[in-house]
Amino acid sequence: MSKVMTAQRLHDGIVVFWRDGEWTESVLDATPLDEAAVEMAMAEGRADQAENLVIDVGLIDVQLQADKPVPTRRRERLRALGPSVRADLVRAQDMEI
Amino acid sequence: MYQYDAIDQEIVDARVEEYRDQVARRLSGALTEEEFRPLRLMNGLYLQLHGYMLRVAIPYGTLSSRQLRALAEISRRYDKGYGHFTTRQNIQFNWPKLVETPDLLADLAKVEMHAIQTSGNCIRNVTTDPFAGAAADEVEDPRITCEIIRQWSTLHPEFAFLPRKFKIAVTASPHDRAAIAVHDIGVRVVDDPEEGPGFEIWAGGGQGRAAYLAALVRRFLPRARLLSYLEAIMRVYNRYGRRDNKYKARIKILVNSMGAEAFTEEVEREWQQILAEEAPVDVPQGEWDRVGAFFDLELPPAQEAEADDTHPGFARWRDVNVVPHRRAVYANVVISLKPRGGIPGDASASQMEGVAELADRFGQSEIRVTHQQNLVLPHVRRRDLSALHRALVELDLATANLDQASDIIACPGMDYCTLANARSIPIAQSISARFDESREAEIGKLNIKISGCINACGHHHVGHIGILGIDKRGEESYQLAIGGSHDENAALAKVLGRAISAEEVPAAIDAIIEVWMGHRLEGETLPRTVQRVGLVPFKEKVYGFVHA
Repeated sequence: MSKVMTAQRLHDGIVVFWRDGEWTESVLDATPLDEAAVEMAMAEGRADQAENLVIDVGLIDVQLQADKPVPTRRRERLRALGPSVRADLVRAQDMEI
Repeated sequence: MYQYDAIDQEIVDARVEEYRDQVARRLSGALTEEEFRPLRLMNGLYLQLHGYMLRVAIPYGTLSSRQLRALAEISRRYDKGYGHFTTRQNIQFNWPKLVETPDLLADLAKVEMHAIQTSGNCIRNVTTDPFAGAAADEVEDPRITCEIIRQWSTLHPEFAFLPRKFKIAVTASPHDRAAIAVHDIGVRVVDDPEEGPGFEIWAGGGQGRAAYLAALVRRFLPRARLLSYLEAIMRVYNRYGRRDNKYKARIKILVNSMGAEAFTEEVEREWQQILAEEAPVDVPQGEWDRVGAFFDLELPPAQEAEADDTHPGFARWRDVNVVPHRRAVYANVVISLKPRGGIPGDASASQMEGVAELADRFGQSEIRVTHQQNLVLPHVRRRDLSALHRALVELDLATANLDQASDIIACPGMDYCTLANARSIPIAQSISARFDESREAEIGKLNIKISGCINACGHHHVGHIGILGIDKRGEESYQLAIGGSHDENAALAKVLGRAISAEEVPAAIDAIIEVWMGHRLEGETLPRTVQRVGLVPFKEKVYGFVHA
């Protein structure tokens, strides 16, 4: 199963995902990581954490749907999407809880 | 209302500047996240599922219109234009940026507010009857006691690192609207015909993963000895409460493992020692009088006539949401934050400003937050009720459902909370959307409470119907319990059976109501019916339907 690296930005707490050397707010834009890529990405994530850019760096399981990574667990889908009860705050319109 | 003196203001202002420095050091890297976390939590700032969440203290649920306007403005400037009122009579903002939180707290301090002790293992915001000072059945205004406790417990060095968080509730009425039986300490203000003014003291109640009702530890405590007695309880808890296992660290576990009698003996022994050996912490009558004067509101004269109103929905709203006041020409008005199909406890910035305006026009500029996540205007002239109702309709705040099936308490659940195992709000929405006024009129009073995990922030243990969200092999599932109550007849709800899916919950609620209505005697609440007929008829109907 592929993984995506995620964190929360230190200065505003917003959930972010790793995309080829930078952080993006949309999980659908994140880079899916295979086993070989995980270690290198995590090293970069931890470096950003040490630089006080992000906190709580970690990995989540994703499945590819139309080549886009979608978290497999509901909690992670909610975390990526925004509260399911506030349509005005949803971040990834084409992803379902 | 209580107003800060120079010392109060100095403490809060100094705390903002201390926190500003802490945030700056965190952003610069001088503090690690591990070092910063306890500091931010001491100022009410959590890191939640989508970002930071700030919990702001509303002491004993009382707000001025000026403070509510400030909260509205803060929600616009620092958040996403809304706030969430909680079961601890507080408000939470779900989207503040860490970098802006010092300015947010500075804006709060300008209106005598803060977020101190809204998190951490300390004494939290003291809660009370939302009709305090306005209730027809109270002995005295319980906020006097609350304010004395607030001043004693704020930044109390001995009780800053308790085994676990600590919650105190105060009621001054025979009808308990503060849920004292499920608090770490419950205080009932009494006026004993022989012994005079004082308190009944309860301890060891609580919800969470193991729910207990509080035990009566002192039938009568003279008013003058309140703080020394509370201090004795806190010391016994601080000394013997478990610190090795956070799930067994609340005072309810201590009281129930020692036994209420042994716990009480220990408290009494400690109390006698405090009285004999130390300078008393108890406040003199003059201080009770000084604090009491802040709450001594002189209401202007009002005409007795109540305007007739044929405005659609007015009669039902008046019958359901208007509560008797200590003066017959006035009323307490509950403003429901439970629109049918809506999010329990949320209010937009515009709604908060609108309520502040109505408090100025109709309610002596005072607002209360209830532990059932509604607002109250406590001093409304009955002749103004129809005008107030019309204004509330304009704000989408005229839902007539106090204590009805759609007046559901729900925690934020997995939509916002990192601890939750399941969502709460969509369940509340799916249930409340099924009830209209006529059906609720037929059903009568019914309290449904939903928690998204065993921490029980949605008070499901004391719901007439309690719903607990659990994770069952990766799926959101819901365990139903019935027969709970949070008032003077407090009872813990009993689990009905196996957990069911989100889709099955609304029909199961319908089934419970149908059985209750079929079995109930005249005026009987659901908990009373459950006590009388047991769980079996409910189980048969619910699980018969679910499996059909």
